[in-house]
Amino acid sequence: MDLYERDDLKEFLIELFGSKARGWPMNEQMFNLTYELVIESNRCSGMMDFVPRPMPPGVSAMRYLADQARGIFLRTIRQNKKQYVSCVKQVSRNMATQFLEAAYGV
Amino acid sequence: MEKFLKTTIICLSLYTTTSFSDTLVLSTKLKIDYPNPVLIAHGSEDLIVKYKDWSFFHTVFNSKTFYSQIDLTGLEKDFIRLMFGYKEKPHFPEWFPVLAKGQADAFGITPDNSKKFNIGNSEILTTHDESKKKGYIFIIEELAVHQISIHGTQKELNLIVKNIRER
Repeated sequence: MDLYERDDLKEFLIELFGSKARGWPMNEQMFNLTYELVIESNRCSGMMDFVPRPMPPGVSAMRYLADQARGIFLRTIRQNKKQYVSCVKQVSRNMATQFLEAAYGV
Repeated sequence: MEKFLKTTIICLSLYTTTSFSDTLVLSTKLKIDYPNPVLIAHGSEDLIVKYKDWSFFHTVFNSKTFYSQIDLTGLEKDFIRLMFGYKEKPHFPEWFPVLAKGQADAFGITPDNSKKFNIGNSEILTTHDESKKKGYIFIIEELAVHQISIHGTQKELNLIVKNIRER
């Protein structure tokens, strides 16, 4: 991820998890969890357009997606963060511990 | 004498690996004894206790930040109870039970995989989704609601539940 993509991801995660996400590292694991969150939620029709189907299980979404698609995905969730946070908020509570583990590298 | 020493050392080492020497104090009234972890990490609001194959997380339920866009202040206890199938109260806003039901679905809470009981004056509500290997323990006390999330099996959730004790 480049600097802009990291910023996009961070803005979205701060909107979703609050200010504690400010200190989280924006890396491949964090991107993959965010991507998994979208798949799990299955409610954000706009976001689902970015999910390639079928995606092989166990594959890193970050590596699987073309750079351009990844950039569009991140830009979209940032620009529409309020709308997207609203549709993933409940599933995100069930994945909060995975985000925390990634944040603390444990 | 040598045999006695060997036996003593073996017994002591066995005791050490299965002992519950760590205690998490939740409040003036409650504590949790938990087995020795591989590591403990502490974030701004969260405690992560990690084992080789499983982990648990403790946080005090924050009504203002549980959802970034919805403030649940004053409704937090009812929110947890609604997730576990308690009846709605007439004064609830219309959106509130819908939100709780949606969250219960996301947590995988069903009547079959959830339990409710009391320790002293505290309500304990637990659930475990075996397919996702995730479970939750909510502890409703007078002054706070604790949320303990388990990444592990039902057995590990039970291990934590049975070690919630009065102080």
